[in-house]
Amino acid sequence: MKRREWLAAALACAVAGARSVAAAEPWRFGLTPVMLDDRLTLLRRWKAYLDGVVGGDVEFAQRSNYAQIVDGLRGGVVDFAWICGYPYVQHADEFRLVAVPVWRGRPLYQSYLIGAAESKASGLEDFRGKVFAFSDPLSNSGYLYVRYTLARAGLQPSDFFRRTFFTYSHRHVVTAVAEGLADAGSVDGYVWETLAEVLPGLTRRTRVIARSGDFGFPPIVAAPHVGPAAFAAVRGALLQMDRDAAGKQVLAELRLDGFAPGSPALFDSIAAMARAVA
Amino acid sequence: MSANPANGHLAWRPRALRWSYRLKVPLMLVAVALVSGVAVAAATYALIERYVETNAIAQSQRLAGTLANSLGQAVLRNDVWRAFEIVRAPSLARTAEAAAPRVVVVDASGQVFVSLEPGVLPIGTPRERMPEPLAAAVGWILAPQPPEATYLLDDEASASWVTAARITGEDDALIGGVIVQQERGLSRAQTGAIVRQLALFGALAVFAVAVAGWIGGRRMIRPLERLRDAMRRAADRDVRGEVSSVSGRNDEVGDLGTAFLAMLREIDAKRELEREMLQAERMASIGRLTAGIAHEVNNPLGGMLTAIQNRRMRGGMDEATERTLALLERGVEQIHSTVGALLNEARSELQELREEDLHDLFLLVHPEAEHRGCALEWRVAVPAGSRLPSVQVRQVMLNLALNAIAAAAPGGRVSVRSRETRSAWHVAVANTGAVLDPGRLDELLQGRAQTDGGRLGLGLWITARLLHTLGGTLGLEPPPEPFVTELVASFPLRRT
Repeated sequence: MKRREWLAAALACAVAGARSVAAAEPWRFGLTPVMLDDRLTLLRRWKAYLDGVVGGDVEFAQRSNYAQIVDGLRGGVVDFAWICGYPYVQHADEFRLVAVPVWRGRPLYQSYLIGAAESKASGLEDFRGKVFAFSDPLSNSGYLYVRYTLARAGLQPSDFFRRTFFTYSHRHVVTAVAEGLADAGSVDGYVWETLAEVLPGLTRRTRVIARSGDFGFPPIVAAPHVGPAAFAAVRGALLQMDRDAAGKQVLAELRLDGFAPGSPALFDSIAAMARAVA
Repeated sequence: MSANPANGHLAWRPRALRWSYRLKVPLMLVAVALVSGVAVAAATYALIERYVETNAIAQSQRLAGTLANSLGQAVLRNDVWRAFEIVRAPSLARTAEAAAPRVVVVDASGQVFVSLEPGVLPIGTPRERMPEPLAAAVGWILAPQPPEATYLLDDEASASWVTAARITGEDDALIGGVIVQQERGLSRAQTGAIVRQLALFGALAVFAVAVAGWIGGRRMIRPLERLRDAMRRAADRDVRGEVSSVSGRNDEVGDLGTAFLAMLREIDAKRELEREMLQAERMASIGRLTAGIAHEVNNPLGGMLTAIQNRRMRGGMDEATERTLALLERGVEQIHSTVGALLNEARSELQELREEDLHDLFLLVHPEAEHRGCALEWRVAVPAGSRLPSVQVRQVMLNLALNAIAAAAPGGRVSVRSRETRSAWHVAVANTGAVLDPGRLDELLQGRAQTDGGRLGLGLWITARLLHTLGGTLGLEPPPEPFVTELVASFPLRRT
């Protein structure tokens, strides 16, 4: 018996009780722009992998901002979601940590401060009075970190920058800076690095001015209503990905090494920043 | 006319140095085609530019209106990125050739909310720092009661036009505005593409027209070439046939051909006249020579006649001597009259033709016929009741008879017969042997025929001239068997 079939059989047994009533209903897996969620071929492969391992129907749900996915999790519309550490720490009492992606060997990432390719700036201070692009109000790397950094100096973004706006996507922050719409922006380091491989023409028009310290990588969480069996099934499927050929192909496309169980403590630094700006 | 340039007159210039009509006409047609092609291309280009500009202005106005309708929520909610995506969408779909318009979205305060060129017009740029045409458009947007529903500024200075549309809420409250600035005319890329296409298709069309023009031009000029070649050869041969193919044309070349044919006819007539004058001159020389000889002959003849008359006056002659003297006297007088006839002097000394004259003639001719071995048939009678000059008649008959004897080969036959009609006395001289055809007779009568020795044969010419003096004619008639030639001399009869 192949590993994948064995895994599927084992998980199916575990899940059977949990979703016996609604076995025909798909698992709703929310995605946010913490990853490049517009790569549909990649998503189809990932779904195929998850469908096969979990033994059910997994349906990816995409929304235009983080808040809608968070609301979906809390409202029972979405079962699992790949969200940012910031909303996770905000709702740590409701959301359960399913897995944390491992990128470049660690379950950690950074926030990048980017400017135009020809920019001479060396830090955030150089963008005082400029137009700044954030990704999402619920993004750690794309908003919280900059807001926290300014707050430590007793500043608000609206005071420091001439104008700010949200693009609701890390990728769009990169575009806004590349097009000159914004003088600078803050983005998820993992997204920028992935874009640098997928769309080098875009990232080449921007420059990383500064990198933050390490933060816990945006995690995959489960909604409060998800039973333990389903939780275990999905968690198992994610943790096993790096040991399956199809899973490895998806991971390679995601530019990830795999998924780790992770621990809430990974997000302590984000929680601290969130408290500081609250 | 000569083709030799050394002659100096009407020499043809060398072909290579000549700017021939053969080249000029087709080249002119090609040039006309070329100029027309360029003119049509220029006009087409101007029309296209005008059409594109009109079209582009309408397009700019539509773009401003559409963007204004789409941007309401984004500007109202301060969603810069959304507004940027909306504004950027049309330019992403635009092809590289088309000149991208400048799109600026302003908020209700007139500051730049978002623009397609953030580097030039960054977010928050106030109206005062905008270029003049854009600032004017912002003024229109912010005006409490805009005078027109749509805004259009044709800005000559910056070679562009500016259109604007207001962004309003449902209650018509001003949210902001969209300004679209578009370069005037075609962009360089579009211009290049149109010029390239015009040049390509124009070149193909001009080439086709030029080839047709060249062929047509050559065809037009061909009759003229034929006429020219015919004129060149006119000196050496008869070119009327060649010219006729051109002169039948119903155009100027045809007129030229007709005129040339008329000229050829006049030249021929002139040549004939010259020939006749030359002939007359030659005859006049012969006449003068003959007159000189006649004068020299007449003097001793006068002495001889005087001597014969003196001998008679002395008397004492026997009959034989008397006949001999009479024969001598008639012979000398005949010589005298003949020479006189040549000098037109015989008229005054007219002697009537008598039977004796005809008998003398027979006596003169018969020995020659015998000498030649030729049978002579002599049936001649003087016409009754009329007077014919004996000298001229004898001379004519003598010439005709001797010619006939010469023409009849040895063993041949010669017949001399006379017949009388009411108005003329005809002497028919027929012979076997050599045939005299009408062409040869004509030459002989014109004095152009030469004998075997190369001298001019003047016998028949003198005969004809004598007959002409008398008002008579000389002609060929169908000979009776077995003769092959019969010449008939007709003497007009004046009845007394």
